[in-house]
Amino acid sequence: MTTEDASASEAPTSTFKTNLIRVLVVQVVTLTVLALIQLRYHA
Amino acid sequence: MHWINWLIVVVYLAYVIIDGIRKSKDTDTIDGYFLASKSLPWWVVGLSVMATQLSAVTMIGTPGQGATDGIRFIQLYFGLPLAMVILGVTLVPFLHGSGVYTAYEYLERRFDARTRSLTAFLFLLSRGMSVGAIMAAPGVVLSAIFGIPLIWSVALIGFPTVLYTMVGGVQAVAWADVKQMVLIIVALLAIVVVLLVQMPVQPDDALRIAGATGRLKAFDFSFDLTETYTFWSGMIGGTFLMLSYFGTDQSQVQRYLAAESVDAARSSLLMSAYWKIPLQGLVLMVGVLVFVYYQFTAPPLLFNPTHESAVIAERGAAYDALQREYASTFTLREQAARAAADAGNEAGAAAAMETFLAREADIQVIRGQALTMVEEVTGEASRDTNYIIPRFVLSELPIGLTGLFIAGVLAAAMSSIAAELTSLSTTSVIDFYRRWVKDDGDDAHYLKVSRAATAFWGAFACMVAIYAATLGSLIEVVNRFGSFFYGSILGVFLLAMMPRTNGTGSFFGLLMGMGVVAVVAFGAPDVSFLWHNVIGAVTVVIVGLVLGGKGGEQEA
Repeated sequence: MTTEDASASEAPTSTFKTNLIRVLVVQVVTLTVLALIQLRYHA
Repeated sequence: MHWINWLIVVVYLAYVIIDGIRKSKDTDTIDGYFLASKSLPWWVVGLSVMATQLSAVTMIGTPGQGATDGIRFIQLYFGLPLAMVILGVTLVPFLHGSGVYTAYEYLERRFDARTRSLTAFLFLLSRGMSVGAIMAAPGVVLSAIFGIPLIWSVALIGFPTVLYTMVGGVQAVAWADVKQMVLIIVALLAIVVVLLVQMPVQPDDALRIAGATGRLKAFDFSFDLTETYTFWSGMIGGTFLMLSYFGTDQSQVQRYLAAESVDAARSSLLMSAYWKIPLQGLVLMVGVLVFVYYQFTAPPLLFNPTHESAVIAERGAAYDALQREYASTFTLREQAARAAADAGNEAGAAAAMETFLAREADIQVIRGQALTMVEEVTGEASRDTNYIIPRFVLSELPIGLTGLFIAGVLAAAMSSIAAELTSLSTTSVIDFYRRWVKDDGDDAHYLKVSRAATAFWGAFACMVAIYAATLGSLIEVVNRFGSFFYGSILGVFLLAMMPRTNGTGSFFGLLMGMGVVAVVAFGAPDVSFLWHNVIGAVTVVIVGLVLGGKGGEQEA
């Protein structure tokens, strides 16, 4: 890793963290909906 | 098509061109032209990334796939959120912070010029052909549906796209993507609303009918390397595919390099992470609902009008007889579908559904005969999945919404093509022209060359699209070739983040990775292409680390 690379690697900030939480929530909801659809309707 | 629908399409095209040119300010430097002077907010980059990935094939082919095959295709995207998070904390900060124009430029800083040039060349080779294919897919469908020459439908998509991309660079493309993404979502939601309103049965009954035919199976947990869409191929192979696509493909990398900060670049990728699966679910559900809709409204026997005309011209009597049989079988299936819907969950529901499935199988047999007839008459592949949604839109949607959907298809095509053109132009100029031909030019010179490169790639894409029918097998070969090195290029970027390797390791690792994937692809053709990405990336990393050895440690 070069010095330039190391300096480029910034710590995640609030927008990133907020979006990360969104990712988790949306994935859990979406996959749950898909699973419920499959459980209820798939023959 | 009604004139109001045409008006909507024309207004959309005019708006895209005018707005794109308006957004061309501050593009008098290559920094502004290629990277929008690193000024774009995260949500603009995020929508642009999504619009780039959502091509016209997604608008017409994916719902068609939902109609014929159900929603299991969604498993391909299960690895995407994980890939976006991994990229957000690893590769994105490296690339954004290193001040490069292309992902391949970074490889020269880390390794050497040959690794950079080889990866950039592979990108130009695959993307140059695929941008033609991206343009050809909607071009062929629109040409068949509207009965216009292919050259006109390609021009309808290609001309405005090349114009605003050439003039406005990445900034114009990104802002156009935002509006195009909104238009696409509105068009998809409108079609869902219309389907639900016009459906003669309740949504619950519609889903029961779709589920009985196996179209609502989103999860397949079987571990079968030959099955393309399973939970595991999506989670493992899909993660590697998305890492490679979003992390190393210039058409994606260029988007987040234009973000105003590292945090904005990371966050823009996360937008895809949380929207992609719901969006693909929506697109596939449109197809599933169209399938159910066609249980109660007679669909055409053949969806491709060109094939239909050819069969009528050559085998009119036989096709007529088949159509009569199709009409009577459809009536029986419709009655069975209504009976199944009316039975709900009461006693006798299972028997009603069984009758419906038997009638559905009868319909598929007749469809199979018609498709065989197409192959015999035209000598072409008879698959008409891409024509299901356009035929539905033209015959079933109210005036205005048809125009909106066609504009949405054009928007999806244009956003993908524009991204490909800017990335092809950037790679041509930065990785080849400036690197090997002229490294002392000023911004004005490079801008001129960049615009010429955009125009060249646009013209090349149109040519490939127009001759797509005759280039069919060639495009397939190129796409297959692309899957040979996608994972391998990812492997090179993974190596770039490891200290114990060097240029020799990465270059020969890349060659070895492509070779191993080629051996697997030809030796075991049943192995799903999603696994090629895993095999390629892992091979490159192992070979790179072994060959890089101690020398790499000194170099890093």
